[in-house]
Amino acid sequence: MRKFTKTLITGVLAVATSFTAVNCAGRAGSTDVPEENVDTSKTQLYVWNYNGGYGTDWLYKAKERFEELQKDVVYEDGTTGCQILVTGEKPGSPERSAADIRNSKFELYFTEGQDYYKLFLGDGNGDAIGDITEAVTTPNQFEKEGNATVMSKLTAQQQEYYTIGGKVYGIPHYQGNFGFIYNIDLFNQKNLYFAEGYESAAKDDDKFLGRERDKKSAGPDGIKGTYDDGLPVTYADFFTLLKYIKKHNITPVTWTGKYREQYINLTFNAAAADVDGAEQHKLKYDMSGTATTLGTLDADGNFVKDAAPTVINDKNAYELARQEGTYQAIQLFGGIFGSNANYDDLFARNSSDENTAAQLRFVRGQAAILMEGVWWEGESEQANNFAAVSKKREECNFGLMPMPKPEGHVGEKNTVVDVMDALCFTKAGLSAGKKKLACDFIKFVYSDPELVAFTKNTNALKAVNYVISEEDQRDLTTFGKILYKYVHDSDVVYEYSTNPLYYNNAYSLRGRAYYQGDVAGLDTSGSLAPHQYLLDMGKTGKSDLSAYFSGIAAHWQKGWDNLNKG
Amino acid sequence: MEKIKNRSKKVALSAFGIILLVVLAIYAVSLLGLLLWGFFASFKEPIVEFTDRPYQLFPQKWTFNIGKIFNSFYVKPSTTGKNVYVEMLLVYSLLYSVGCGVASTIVPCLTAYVCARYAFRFSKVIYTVVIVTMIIPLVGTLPAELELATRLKLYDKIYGLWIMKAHFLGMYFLVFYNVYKAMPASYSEAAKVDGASNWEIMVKISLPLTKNTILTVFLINFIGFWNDYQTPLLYMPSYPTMAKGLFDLVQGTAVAGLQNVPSRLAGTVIVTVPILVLFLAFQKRLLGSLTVGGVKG
Amino acid sequence: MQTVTNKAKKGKIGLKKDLVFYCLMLIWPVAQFCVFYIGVNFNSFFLAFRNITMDIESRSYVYTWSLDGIKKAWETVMSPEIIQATKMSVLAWILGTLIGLPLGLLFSHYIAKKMPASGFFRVILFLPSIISAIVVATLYMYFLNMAVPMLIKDTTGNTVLSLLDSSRPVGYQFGALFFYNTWVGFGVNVLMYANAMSGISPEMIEAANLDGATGFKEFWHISLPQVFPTLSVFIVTGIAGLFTNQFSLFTFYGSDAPFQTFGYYLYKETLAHSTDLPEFPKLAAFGLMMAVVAIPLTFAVRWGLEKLGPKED
Repeated sequence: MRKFTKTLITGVLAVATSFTAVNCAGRAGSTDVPEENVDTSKTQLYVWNYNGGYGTDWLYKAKERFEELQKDVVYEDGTTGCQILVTGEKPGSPERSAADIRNSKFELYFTEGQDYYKLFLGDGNGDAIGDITEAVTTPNQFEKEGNATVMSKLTAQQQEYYTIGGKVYGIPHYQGNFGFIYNIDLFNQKNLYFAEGYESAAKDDDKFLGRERDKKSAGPDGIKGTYDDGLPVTYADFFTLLKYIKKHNITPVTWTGKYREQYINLTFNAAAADVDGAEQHKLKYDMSGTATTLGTLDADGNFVKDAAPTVINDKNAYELARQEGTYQAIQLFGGIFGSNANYDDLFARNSSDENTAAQLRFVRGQAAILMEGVWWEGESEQANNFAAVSKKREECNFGLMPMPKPEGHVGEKNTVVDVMDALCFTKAGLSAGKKKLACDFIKFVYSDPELVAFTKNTNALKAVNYVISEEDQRDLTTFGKILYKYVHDSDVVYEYSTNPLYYNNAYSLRGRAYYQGDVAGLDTSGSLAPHQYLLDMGKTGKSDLSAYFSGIAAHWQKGWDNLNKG
Repeated sequence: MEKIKNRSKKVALSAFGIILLVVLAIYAVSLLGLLLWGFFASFKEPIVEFTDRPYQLFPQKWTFNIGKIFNSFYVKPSTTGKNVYVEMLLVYSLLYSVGCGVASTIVPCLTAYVCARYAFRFSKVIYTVVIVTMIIPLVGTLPAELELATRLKLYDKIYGLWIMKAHFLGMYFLVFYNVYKAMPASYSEAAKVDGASNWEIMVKISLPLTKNTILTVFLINFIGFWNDYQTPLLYMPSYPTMAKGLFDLVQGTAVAGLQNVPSRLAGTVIVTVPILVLFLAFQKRLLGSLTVGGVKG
Repeated sequence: MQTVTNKAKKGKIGLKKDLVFYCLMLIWPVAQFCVFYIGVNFNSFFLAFRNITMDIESRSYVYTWSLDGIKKAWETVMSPEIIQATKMSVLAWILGTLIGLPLGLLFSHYIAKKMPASGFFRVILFLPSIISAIVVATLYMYFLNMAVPMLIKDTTGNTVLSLLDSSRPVGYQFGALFFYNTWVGFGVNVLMYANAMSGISPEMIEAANLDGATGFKEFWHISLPQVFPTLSVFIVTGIAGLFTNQFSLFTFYGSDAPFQTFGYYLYKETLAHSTDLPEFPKLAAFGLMMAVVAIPLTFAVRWGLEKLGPKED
């Protein structure tokens, strides 16, 4: 035994040493940007970036341009110019805690999943983030045209939220929403587009492109020649499309089984917001205003709008559970989940089915539509998914499908819910020189040319207003182009508000939480979210869409008093 | 001679013994089968092959994912921003688990020793404290713990965790307590008559007599710390261990091409092999000397 | 007379020396305990009676004394969700005690009796304890969720959902998890039982064997009583499992499990709110309530075992 053990240990050590030897020869497989040496003749700024689907490359590029531009500026005595030291990291959670920030050497952060107010308050053990009012409210010298402030690029909702007592401690970073993403190459190959005049076709199959029907319909925007030609306009169209896709032996819709709670419920929220419109959906966060889309169900389970609008305040905001958007989203998702044929049972609720695995099915054309967040392309690239179809990311064609509309809402403007909580902020207590440098860098990154450069690099959008010229759009992937167009043409709502009742209960009141329902007479316990009630129980034929709508209203009315006091 | 004696001692298996043997054999097959499947899966082509046919035992296209992990995987602490590659992860693992293993073995051992051997009333208090703290669920203490660690300058230091883990609470206090309670008083009394001090009795007589138990508890604690990713994650972000690295890998690292199951399993192999070797080397000792007596006090 | 006083004197000095040694030895453990356990948890007790709100204007949290936390925790306890968690926690504990524990004892008996390949089985049973829990769980989960259903689909063309699939009745998921927890949970327990059983004197066994006590009888009449003190420790400390056992739910399902246990609920909520100060009072109150039930229960079981069990020493 002893001898055996000795041999074993020696063997393992030998193997380990050989690995180390390989390492010393250099890390051939590493794609990481080499660490930079500190140049003491310059002022350093340590920048931390969440290295998620949008990567860190954009920041390396911005840093180079900025350093060159500011090479003669003196930020601290004894130094000339600056050195931006960038680190991209992907920890388990993108959220930085107050303790993380206080204990870290990083001075400027770009990250997501960050509750601004919570971070502003810190953890009761001292401030974590610093005042950047100067960076966002003074004229921006880095603009090519004019010198608009960074603040002026924010929507009214954003400006109100980010300004605390006249000061600003953080600004929105990038944008991200959930939706239905479709595989354009597959749609082209299988002719999965609606044909011109499809509304009058008697048989479902005759609604789609075919030999005699070679022109696509005008699509949701009603204009021919745009990207959405041939795409479904109404919920009914969408269901017809799913059925048609299934006939080609392709899974109509797929999503990640592992993160289905988040992916399904946030897409559900996106669908609801799209029906209610930005102004009405925003009430869910502000809890103050006049609700005009509330209603109840009649005996047949049809939605009947209240005769008079309801004034919403902290006391009765639970009424918002009765918004029409909730009702319609239930119809949409009830329809998708109601038939097993619309998705692959094997993965739909499978806690081992990763987001990148679902993306891979989609990229390989095993599924035609992906329920995902708009950052998915970057994630798939990191996971080598495009290599599986022997292509590069920019060689593939994907698009964000305009959210289909229920009857009576066709032609209305789309609404996008930004779920990222992506934030840019600095550490508290920076020296005057460092703070000046950090503020300059923020201004630079938020100047129009840099915003465009960000999008060209990531195929994603910053959560501020800027315009990308036709010429610049040509450098985007197909998905990036469609995303820009769709978001640019939509109203955007952010899931936050300045109402103390909201931010003291942010976790329980986030958009998707509004769809928890208590349905009587079930053998499960507690309240159920759409992914549980509509997907799990739809599978067993137990879901009752009307009961669910009423259950959601009941749940919120009952639980409202239990919220933390604002 | 010894062997013959042993063989002759063997009793024929009763029906009861045969049933147990069958159940245990099923257990062994299921466990080893799963581990082998996982081991071979770590050599599969990660994207297409594993996704399409996860059930196949042997890889069709052998891919050395372990080498890829050694070559390109790293953890990047948000405190320093400096890449920590696998060798360094293993070094931090070793420092963390040996230090904490020693601390969390010696303290309960010595505390249990004095409580078991000296009949002061306070010993009973300590005993009850151990039992009660094993039951109470604690909530929302993390920020307070982090704050305390920061204030005591123990945050983000490996030795900080050695100090924080040097407490007597938990099951192994009971194990040691039992061992020292059961130890005959005659040895120490004889030594006392010879003029040995309390310290000498403890260090020269009692502890050596129980060195096997001490070693066993140390090894079990060591294994626990080796596999622990939560504590390093929270308390020493600048010194990520291999277990924390594996956690990152499982959570979805940003290192290109490693977001797949075979790569994660390859990371698993790296974490598991050292501990498996250690375990097999010491298994006789590790498995032979741990008992715990009745709850008294 | 002289000798007696001397002895007494010596004894007193000895006692003093003992006390000094005793105190010196306990300085570190007690100080460490006071700082890192009491110091840290002291506030958590009071947290249950506080109300915390965010005050953005003054950039601070406002603490007030309040019974809101207790009230909310109580309402949580009475919610259908927690009533179900209670059922599941109790079920898991009872099944664990009725199935896992006896199996562990039988395996230990097998090992202690040195029946064929017992050394090998001892190593195998301990193996799950040395491999990282995320690893074993990942393998088990991937095998059930992916390998088995895809094998069935590729060979028969049928889709058979994983046992862990949330559209199945809860019993399937509970069963699959119960099997997993039992399957990986023998480790240290079997080790200790087996060691306690092998401490039985050979004479006693021989005598028993002559009386016809072999096989199961030997286990029942000899091994079991011998292991009782060890067993009672595990039973007593195992009571805590009722309140703390997460049943591996988080590892398998993240924060979206199809059913809950107390331990899982508390872990999940604490994790979700790790930086949400306003949510702390409710969670602290919930923990407090569990402690209020758990502590007397544990001491009652301990007392009961002392009365019922075979006399020690």
